Amino acid sequence: MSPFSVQHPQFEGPLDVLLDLIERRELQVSDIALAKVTDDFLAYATNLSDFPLAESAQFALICSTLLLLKSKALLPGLALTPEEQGSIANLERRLKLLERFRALSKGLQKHLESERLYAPKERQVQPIFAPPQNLSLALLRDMMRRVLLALPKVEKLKQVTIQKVISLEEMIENLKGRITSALRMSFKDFSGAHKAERVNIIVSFLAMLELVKQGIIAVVQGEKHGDITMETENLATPRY
Amino acid sequence: MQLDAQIEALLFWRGEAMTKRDLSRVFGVNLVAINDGLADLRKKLTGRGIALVENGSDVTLLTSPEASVLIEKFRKEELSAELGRAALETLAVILYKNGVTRRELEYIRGVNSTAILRTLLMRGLVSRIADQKDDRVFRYEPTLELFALLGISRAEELPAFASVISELGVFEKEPEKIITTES
Repeated sequence: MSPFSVQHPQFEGPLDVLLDLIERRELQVSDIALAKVTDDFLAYATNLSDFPLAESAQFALICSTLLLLKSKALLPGLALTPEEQGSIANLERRLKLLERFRALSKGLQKHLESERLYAPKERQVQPIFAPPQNLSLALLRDMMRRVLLALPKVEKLKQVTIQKVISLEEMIENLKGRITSALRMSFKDFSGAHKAERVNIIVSFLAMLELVKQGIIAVVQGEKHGDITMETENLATPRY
Repeated sequence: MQLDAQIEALLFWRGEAMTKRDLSRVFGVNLVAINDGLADLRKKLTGRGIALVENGSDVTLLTSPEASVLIEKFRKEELSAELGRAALETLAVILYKNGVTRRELEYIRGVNSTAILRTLLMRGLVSRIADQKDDRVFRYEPTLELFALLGISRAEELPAFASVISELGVFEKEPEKIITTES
């Protein structure tokens, strides 16, 4: 297995980690390189303790983009939507930028360690009493008023209790349940009854009967000659 | 870098006169070498805006005579220009508090005041003295000439003095208040 382990003395952002992984393998930033390091990156992200909440959105975005890339690499025939292609291009662009700036910063480091320029030391100036024309007590009183107005005031923030919202895991379970138990379709939709030729409807009907025989779907007919609803029950072992 | 250039850099940075003896010590050469270097520098500065000025023992870089009209004009402008709002606000704070440290000033105004303080100092409106409690810290006080100009004999005579002081007092104590109510 990949002997990849990361010890970072301080937390690095996901882009940094991703670039590290690519450079470690001495690859250029590209689709192929990213697909190759996807597993490593996912492992890093899952094992990260002290996960900073602020970064989690970034991590989620990058993980999902990488999965997209890896899927494409494994299934070249996979069609990506323009939005998905955009996400991938975006990630590559950001990585290339990061790569460029890392290289530049090394050069900067060298400059910081070399010669610097100095400004002349502060001069002692002999003061001359040279007041502005318009200085008066009234003017200064006004100015003081402005200063006082500009002082920040203490604001007490309203306290609101945040309502408990359904957690992501619960939502997923809920959804899974609904999908598996509620896949249903009307026979009319299934056979395209209104548009298809009669023979197609017959074929669809026979297919439906076969699925019922195999225990994959259940059918319900509400009223005589009415539409038939097909439902998937729990997809257990088929009954013969 | 040649000696005349090195002397030039040093004098520019120091911003004040140095003795030839010090130069000799700093550069580790004898006075003859220093004088030669100075002669080179003088020659190279002809026609420039900066002049090398020396007497028997001291040497310094100053603006050249040809530039005197120009410099005079700028000096007069600096000393007679109207003060902008920021400078006037700063001056008001210094007056009503009868002297502040830079830190207190920037806490109240919320902005960096370095440039403004330099202007106010230069025009004799405030003066700078070491804080009594900590002589690393400077206090900026209104000058007596300023009081005289305004026709007051002490800070307490400023208009609405008591109410300004009490309002400032509330503000300066507030951070402590915040900490205790939220703990």
